[in-house]
Amino acid sequence: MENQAKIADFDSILESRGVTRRDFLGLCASIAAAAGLSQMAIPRIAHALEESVIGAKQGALYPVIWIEGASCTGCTESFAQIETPDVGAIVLDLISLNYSETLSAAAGHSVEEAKAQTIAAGNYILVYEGAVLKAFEGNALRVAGEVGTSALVEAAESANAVVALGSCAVNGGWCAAHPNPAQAMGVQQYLEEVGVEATVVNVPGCPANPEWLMSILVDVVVMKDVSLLLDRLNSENKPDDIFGQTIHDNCERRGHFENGEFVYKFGSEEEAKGYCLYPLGCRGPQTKSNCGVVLWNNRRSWCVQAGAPCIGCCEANPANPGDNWVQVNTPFYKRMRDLRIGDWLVQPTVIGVGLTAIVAACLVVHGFGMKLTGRMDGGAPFEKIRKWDAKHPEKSIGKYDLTPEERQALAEKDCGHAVSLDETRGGQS
Amino acid sequence: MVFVVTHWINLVAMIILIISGIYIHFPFVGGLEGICRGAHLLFGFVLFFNCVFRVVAAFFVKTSPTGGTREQVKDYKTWLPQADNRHQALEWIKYYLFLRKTHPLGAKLGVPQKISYLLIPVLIVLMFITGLCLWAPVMNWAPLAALTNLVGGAMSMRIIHYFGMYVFIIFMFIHVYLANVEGFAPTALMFIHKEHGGLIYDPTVHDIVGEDNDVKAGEKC
Repeated sequence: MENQAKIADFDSILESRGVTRRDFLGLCASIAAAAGLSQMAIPRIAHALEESVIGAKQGALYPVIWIEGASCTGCTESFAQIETPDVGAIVLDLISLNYSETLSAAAGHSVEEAKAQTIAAGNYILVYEGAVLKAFEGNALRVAGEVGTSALVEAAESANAVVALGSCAVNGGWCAAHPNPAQAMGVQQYLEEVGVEATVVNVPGCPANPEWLMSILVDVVVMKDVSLLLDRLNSENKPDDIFGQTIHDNCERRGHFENGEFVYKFGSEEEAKGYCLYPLGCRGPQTKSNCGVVLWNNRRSWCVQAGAPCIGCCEANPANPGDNWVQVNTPFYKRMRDLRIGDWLVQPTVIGVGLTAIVAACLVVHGFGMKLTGRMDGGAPFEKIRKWDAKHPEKSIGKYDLTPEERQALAEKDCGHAVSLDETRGGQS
Repeated sequence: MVFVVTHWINLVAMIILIISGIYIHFPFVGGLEGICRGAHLLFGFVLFFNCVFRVVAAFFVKTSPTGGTREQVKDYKTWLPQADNRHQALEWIKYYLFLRKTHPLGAKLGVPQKISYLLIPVLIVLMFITGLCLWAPVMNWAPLAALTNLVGGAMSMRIIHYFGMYVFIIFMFIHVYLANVEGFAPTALMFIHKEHGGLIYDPTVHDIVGEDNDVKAGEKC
């Protein structure tokens, strides 16, 4: 196709970017790590990169369509955040970004046409950013005269893989938080509902880390082997090497947690010491992501290193828009989410302590009642005859008409010291 | 006697679990996180296996079917509905609410008491499973992960586990109150196995047939 980028010479590209051969092999190693491959795969990656980027044999880059759903374009910003042309940027040169509302230079009719041509040609990857809005027959989101849902279906049907990028694309994200008037949901769930067969790869995060997307593109674009990618996916179609362990498990402040060294207040001495942020509502223990390993912003830092508790932005269950990270994690600085009863938001502790206090108060009142009725010393006297037995003598459970002799015999059988109560019975000693 | 031991284990394990659990929920003082997590884990397993043992032992150990008799039956029978329990559920509630003047006749466990005690093993198992769902080494095990998804994620699971603790606390309040408000005899029996004389109740005729005033508290008949 005429509108696809071509790269002539791999070495000149490296040189023009100021990248040495050593840097390049370092990149291959980090790609291997990002893609969850062993170090043995480095030569294979290097070879694949050279082949792919030089374009000498194939001549064409892998086409990618990047559609914005109900998004803030934060994931695009995150992906485009690479300031200097470093080794990571070269990987970006592996793809031909044929359509992107945010990044494409073209606009209007020409870019929509490029999209249509790419879809017609097939053999591309679809990156979908933002939530799918189902309400109002898809009219909650319209682009170029087309409803958002049909744009997704159209592009997903012939894509080799659909990457749901960011928590919104995975399950609606904050768009799906209460009351969710636009019926926001994730790409995977929507495609299942409308019956489109597609390989969906879920990459949550708000925004998604560019390195996560890179590792997926490497699997498909560079290694040209979709099975590498599919092998990495867990039951939620997320790459398990990225989203298999909690942030807490790999946190640099974990030692402070185990020692019970906590920050209770921002601006405190403990914060200056870099203690654990758990009491400030850190969601690390329940959020699965490798943020603390891969880091952010060209591997400079990440939320917890910067002193902010994790707010759990990677929590996203593709099958349940209600399990979106905003709904389950707000308020961020409390240890637990708020529960919603009608329009009333309440912390679980208030409910638990409240109920316990009510029960305790009732018991105290009941205790006074027991005192007043004189039941504290052995309780009230036993009933002489069951109420039900008195009403239904023919079906009576107890036998009350024993002779004194029978009564004496039974009392002695049960206990040798016993004496028959006979007429005097009816009071506990 | 074996149930005196399991009751002691329940008491100690629950108290430790509640205190360490509150600490894990919010570490109100520094320095104890490792101890509390270790204790919570250990006593979680202790409570669960003690519960399993208690249920199994009910099929082998004999206890009295009712207070005030020397007869003994397999313990599990005293947990099923007994003839003595029939038509007495409402009467027990009326008694608790001061709507009747006399003490209802009944088996060892009154109806509301029996139902609430039977729910405790259910609660222990529920707490054990929800606890495992939150425990990193096993949380990714498919059935547990599926359960976490079912309830709407790890946060919901945490809140369910947390509310479970309040059910334990509320049960303990009511249990301790009712066991002691009419005298300490039940407590003495449960904790130091100190038996007491008093009324002789005959489980064959479902009636009080005598008095055991000759026996001093603590003496064996």
